[in-house]
Parts: sequence; structure tokens; C-alpha cells
Amino acid sequence: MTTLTDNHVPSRQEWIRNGVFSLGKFSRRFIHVTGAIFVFLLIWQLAPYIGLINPIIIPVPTTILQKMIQLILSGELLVNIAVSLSRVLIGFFIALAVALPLGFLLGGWFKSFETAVNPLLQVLGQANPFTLFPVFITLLGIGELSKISIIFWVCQWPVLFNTVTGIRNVDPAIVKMARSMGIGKWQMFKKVLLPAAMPSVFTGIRMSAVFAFFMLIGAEMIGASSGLGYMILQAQATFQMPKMWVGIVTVAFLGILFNWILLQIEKKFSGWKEELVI
Amino acid sequence: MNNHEYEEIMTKIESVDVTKSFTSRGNGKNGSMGIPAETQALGGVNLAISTGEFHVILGPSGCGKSTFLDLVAGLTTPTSGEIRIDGKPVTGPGTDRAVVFQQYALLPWRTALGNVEFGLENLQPDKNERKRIATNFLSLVGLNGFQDHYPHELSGGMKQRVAIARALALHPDILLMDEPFAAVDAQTREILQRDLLRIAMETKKTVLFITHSIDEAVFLADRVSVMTARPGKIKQTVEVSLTRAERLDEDVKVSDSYVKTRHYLWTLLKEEVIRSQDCEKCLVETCTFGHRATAGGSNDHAN
Repeated sequence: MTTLTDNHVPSRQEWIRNGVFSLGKFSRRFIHVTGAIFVFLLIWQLAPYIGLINPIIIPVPTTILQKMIQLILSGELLVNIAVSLSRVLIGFFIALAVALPLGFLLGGWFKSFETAVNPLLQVLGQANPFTLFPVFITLLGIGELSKISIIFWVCQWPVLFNTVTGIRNVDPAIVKMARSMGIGKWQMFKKVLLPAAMPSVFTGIRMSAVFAFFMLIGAEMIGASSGLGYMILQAQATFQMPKMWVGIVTVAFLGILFNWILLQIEKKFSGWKEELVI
Repeated sequence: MNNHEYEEIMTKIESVDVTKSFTSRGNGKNGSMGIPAETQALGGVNLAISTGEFHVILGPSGCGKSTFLDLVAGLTTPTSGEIRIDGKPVTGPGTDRAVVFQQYALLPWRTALGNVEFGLENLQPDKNERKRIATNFLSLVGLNGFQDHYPHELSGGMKQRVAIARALALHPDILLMDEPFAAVDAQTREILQRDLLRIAMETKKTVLFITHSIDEAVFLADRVSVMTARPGKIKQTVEVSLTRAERLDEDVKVSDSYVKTRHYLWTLLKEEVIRSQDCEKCLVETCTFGHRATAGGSNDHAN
């Protein structure tokens, strides 16, 4: 039997001090969060030996890694990454530059106008962008412009809708409090509406980052002569399976990286949020 | 003997024939939803509050108490009539008045200190000085050591303390309090009431305090104005003959003048509560009051 000599319950701070950041526990935590990935890779690696998959069609992780290193050294992968990333980032940032101010205006100052145009915006936002891509090509040609435009198009909707929602759902009590202090319009925006809407705005931004990568690859597969989407399709057509898989893995990594960066930025802005404990 | 420690020389807040009508809906609280197009919330409020006075407006739910406070705060304008502060009509919000709301209205992304600093940012450009003032007011309301806590890490009573500190930090002449303790538990409420009384005494503020609790009114007020059911008017203004020192005594609630004033206010309020019982919330309160007040309990239940 154990005797309870010390019934001190550690606080969260103590947990952090003694637990997560001490080295032994840290490696345990690392295994905890990456274990599933390692097991998955291991099964994948061994699958051809037990006849589960055909390594010609689905090469094992080590083959893909080898090919990846080779493509990095030859420069081909990096060039394609650069091309794809520039398309995503340009489209994404133009979308932010347009949809954020527009969302704040529609949500905050032109509410009745927003009510009037909201159904139209919903219809436009719901239209499948892949069906629209041929229209973009017809209007803007097969060059960079049509690809950046379609990425911009898909990115703007989540940002716009979530910004409008964020502004509209600001606690009226806070606005009333700020008004009672005689605060000006600009200050109200900067110190009250903007920070209050931030969590919702960031949800929109991260959604549009996901959409951006979806659309990027789609656009590059439909009409492009460079980029990761083109590389994947090209490799498939010429039956270079390892190269195709390098493309797939790279796109996944870029998506994860992009989302991680956005999450870090979000944490800076909304670190005050209460942690959810279920 | 003069029981009042406020100076009855100057009228600080004056309300002259103030009416307020809403076209679409009410102010969103006190069950005003579902009320059709034109609602008259206030039907001619006349009131004069002296400098340094602790004035409580007592009324049934939905009688327009909060509407009146919003008007004094300058958040809305009267349909007719005029509110004057120091003889000058109110045209909008100003830093001579600070409001404490029932819902605390703290900024969740700011710490306790940051929330107190919020109002100061336009008044005090120096960052360190601002921090010093905010820290002082946090300790005045008894929140030493909680500067860096976020609102979600504070209890309801503590949140309201932060809101009171934020209001006081503006150095307003007038403190407007809209049922500030209605959302905290009973024990905390008693402590907060005592602290508020002490702070009001120390800082010599003119306080306009809205409540639907008779006990709260008698305990805090120099004078209590009972408001009628909607459209709200001042039914009667009652002086509470207790000194502030007497109130801080533990036995005040069984003292003669306390019990008598309390009972008198209940008789005034009773019919108004019954009149405004069309909203369910008021009915519940009627019963609660009925149990606790001496007479009148039975016929409340009959309704």
C-alpha cells in the first residue's frame, strides 16, 4: 500500500516546470505525439515485403526520400516549390489585403449593405472554384495571372465571411463600455473591434490557407507548365512514381508548415484565450 | 442632526421631464424583447441628485431604470426633456462620468491592469504613470497581486472589482452603476457593497446606482428613488436615515431605521412589481420579495 505523505496537487505551472520541459519527459512527449507517424511509416516501409502494396506504384518511404534528395540536389524540386509558393503567397496575400478591410467595413459600418449583399456573396463563395477556373483561363489566359487570380478568389471568401462574423459577434457590452468612455471611431476599431474579432478572423485566414493549396495544385494540374501540381501530373504521365510521390509529400509538408506558421502568429494575437478543458 | 454626509449645496445631476421611447425594440435587457413597435420606456422622469450623494434608483424589472442610466451616461438621447450635469445639458458620453455595467464588460484580451489602463489611455499619455495609476486603483478595490490575471482567470466578484477600478481610474465626478452586483453570488455581493460604500466615502463620488433589490438600496443609498412600472417615472424619493459609519456596522440590517425604511420601500415597490408582472422574470421576483418582506406575501402569490 502506498501512503499519502504529500497530498499536494501540482498546479498547471508546476506541471509545466516539472513535466513538459524537463528533458526526459520531453522525449517521452515527443514519442507520444510523433509515434503514430513513425508506426505508419514503418508499416508502409514493410508493406511490400508482405505483399500488401506494389512498390512500383507506391514506393516505400526510403525510396521517396532518396528521390527527394536527388531532386533537391538537381534543383528541380526547389524551382517547383518556389514557383508554387509564389503563386500561393501572392494570391493569399492579395486576398487578405482585399477581404480583411472589406470584411471590417461590411461587418462594422455598412451593416444594412452587408445584409443586402450577403446572399449574393454566399452564392459566389459557394460556387465551386474548379468549375470557374476555365472561365478564369478564358478571361485571363493560361499564364500566372489566371492561377494567382483563382487562388485569390478561393482565399477571399473564408476571410471575408469570418471577418464579418467576427465583427458582428463582438460583445455589445464591451462596445457600450468603450462608448461610455467617449472613445473615438478609430480607437473603437483599433482597441475593441479588431482584437475582439481576431479569433474569428484567424479562423478564416487558416481556412483560406488550406483552400489556397487545394486550388494551387488543381490549377497547376489543369493548366500550367511548372509548379508542384504540374510536376506530380507530369511524373504520373511518364510513370515516374517516386517523383510523383515526392511531389505529394512536398505539398503536404508545405501545407503543414504554412498552417503552423499561421498558428504561431495567431497565438501571438490571441494568447489570452481560455484553454478548453473537457 | 444631519444624517447626510453629502453636501446638499449643489445639484450634480438633474433630470427634467425626461421621456424615452423606442421604435423597434427595447435596450435589449429586462425582458424587453417581443415588445411591439413603439414602447415608452420612460414617461417623464424628474430627479435632482446632489454632489457627493449616493442615489439609488429602485424599480421593478423592465421599468426603464437602465434606460435612464444610459441617458445620464450620454449613450442615448432622451426623446424629450433634458438631463443636466452641473447645469449643462448632456450631449454625449464624457469622462466626468464613468459607468459600471452588470456584465462587467471587461476586455478578455487584456489583463486586469490592461483593463484598468484602457480608459486612461486617452487621458494619460505617459505609460509608466498610467501603469502606476492603474495599479493604485486595483489595490483600492482590493486586487493587489492580480494585475496580470486575465478576466477568465478571475471570479465574478473580482471582475466587477476590476470594472470598478477602471471606472474610478478615470477620476470621474459621477459613478453610474447599472445593477453592478446582480450577477455575483450573495456573499460576494455583501462584501462588494461594503467595499463600494467605503470607496464612495473615500473618493467622495456622486453615485447613481440602479438596482431591483430593496436590501441593496437601503444598505447603500443616501436617498432612494422608487421608479414606477413602464413607462418609468419617479414614484417617490425616500431618504435613508443611516450614516455611512452606521451602515458598516454588522448589525445595521436589524436596526430600526433599516427595517422601517426597507418595509416602506417594499410597500411603494409592491404595486409597481405587480403592475409590471407581465414579464415572467418580474413574477419570480414578486414571489421572492413577498417571502422576505413582512406583509404582502400572500396577495403576491394570489397573482
